[in-house]
Amino acid sequence: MNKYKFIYLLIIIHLASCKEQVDYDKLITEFAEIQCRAIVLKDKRFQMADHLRSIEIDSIDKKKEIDSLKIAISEIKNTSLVLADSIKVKLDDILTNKLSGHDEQKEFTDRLAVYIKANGCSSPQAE
Amino acid sequence: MKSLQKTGYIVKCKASLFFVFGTLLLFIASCTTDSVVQNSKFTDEYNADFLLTYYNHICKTAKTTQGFFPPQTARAYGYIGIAGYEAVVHGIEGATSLQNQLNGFDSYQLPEVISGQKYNWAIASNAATARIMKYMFDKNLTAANRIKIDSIETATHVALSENEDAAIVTRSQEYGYQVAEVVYAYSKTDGGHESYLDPFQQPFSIPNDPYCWVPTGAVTNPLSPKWGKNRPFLISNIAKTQPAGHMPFSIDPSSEFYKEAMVVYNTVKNNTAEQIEIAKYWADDPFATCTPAGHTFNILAQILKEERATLAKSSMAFAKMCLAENDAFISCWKGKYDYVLLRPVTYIKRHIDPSFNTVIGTPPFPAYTSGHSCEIGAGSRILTSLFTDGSGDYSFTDYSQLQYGFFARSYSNFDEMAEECASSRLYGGIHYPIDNSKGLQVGRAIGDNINKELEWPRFVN
Repeated sequence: MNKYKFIYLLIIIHLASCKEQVDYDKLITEFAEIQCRAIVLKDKRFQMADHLRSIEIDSIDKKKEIDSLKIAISEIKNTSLVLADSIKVKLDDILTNKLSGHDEQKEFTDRLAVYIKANGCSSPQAE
Repeated sequence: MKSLQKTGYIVKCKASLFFVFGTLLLFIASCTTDSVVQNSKFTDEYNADFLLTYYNHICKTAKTTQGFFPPQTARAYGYIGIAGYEAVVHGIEGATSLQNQLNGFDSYQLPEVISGQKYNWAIASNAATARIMKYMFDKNLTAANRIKIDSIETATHVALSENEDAAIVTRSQEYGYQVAEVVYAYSKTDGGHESYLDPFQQPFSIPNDPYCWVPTGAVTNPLSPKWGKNRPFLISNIAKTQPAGHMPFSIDPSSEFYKEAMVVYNTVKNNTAEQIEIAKYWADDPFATCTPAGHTFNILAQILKEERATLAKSSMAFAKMCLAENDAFISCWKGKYDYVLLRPVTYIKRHIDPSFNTVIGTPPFPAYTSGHSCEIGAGSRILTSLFTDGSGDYSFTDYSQLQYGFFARSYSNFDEMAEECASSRLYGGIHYPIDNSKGLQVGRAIGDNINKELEWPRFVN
């Protein structure tokens, strides 16, 4: 009886110490899609800001163009903010529930960067 | 004679008894604050999840509220941090209220804890934070943000009230609200009250001298030119941190000033892809982020979460950062409008290369010193005091910019992070090197002041 108890105990300890392997590929593929949309939006924001500056610097009578650009900027800002919320929620979930500790989290973000740089952000979902 | 002596002895004895008894009474009375603390659960017995939720939402609110430029945002954080700390300070062993430590705060009477009564410090913190947050964004607070704050407050209150005595719940919530009211009253007299309604503080004129700032884009008014006159939380944060003057203005190619501008010019011309990424990463990007101070708070909140810091440590951490960031912007803005130095883009276009363009937008205020450098200098010193032995060595990855389309960046030291942030302004072409180095100096001095001049409790976590 004591032998069985000991075996059960060993099994329990083993199961408790077992840690599910992190499926980085799955996490990254899922997250890369939404992150790519954010990257595209960020690039657009900076481009629009550059454009706005160049218009403002070159000319003071391009009011219509400036106004329409400002409307476009406002729209992209709103889209970016909504997307930022989604990313934050998803990222918090991954960092808190799917990964444990600084090493795994860093591994995830490092691999994510490599993946996106390698594959680019031209997926149909990208805005 | 003997009888007289005896009488005298009895009188002396009685007096002595009265003295001893009176002293005991005084001693007991002086211990009442401690007894309140001992009756209640300590602040470090609560987790800080709800506080982190609030700070996450402050960032969102700053992004979506009209008039919240960097100085206004830092100020909002400033008072929210004080209210949060004061709501829980009596539940932290060895902690001292900021009431008699902050500039001008002693003119306002914070509510007293009731002797012998129990408090739930988390409930107090929840109430104080929600109320002061609504006050700080007040007239421009959108309905959606107000609803969000209310919903955080209600959900937190309900969760914290479970299995708690009703009287304790009411007392704690009321206490938190009262703290927020007093902190708000204090905020009204600092010179920045409702500044979000008029962030450009016009009229304000800048001389036409060749060294002076001129607009660099469509925004022709300089931002918050009177901000440097605001009341700081520590007088020394302004009086002892002002930078010495920059090198004399000159357009002579052999001058120090011209060489500084050439550093900017050459840096922008030869930026690597990594430097451009850094410039944008720390730009706290056009239209979509909660300003540089918000970025620093996001980093702090992330680390507090990773460290599973208690409500006590988190409240102190936010209070320190809030004080430092508010004063960093006041001190920095004072320097900016004392010197009203023109931006590199103006100088370079006039005297070096008319076709020069910056990597990121030049914000609408003078150059000397860099706001980013001031704020990150202050922030890095607070982070160093909170999470290191003073060396600043701490390995972390900043995830806060992923939501804006950046890759995470990792650091092994808070000073290293601050240096990168400051350098980003040079890579962006919007600051002279001296703006950044002096800005860091100003900020670091302010962070050190907050750590050293104020009494803070010591924490393991």
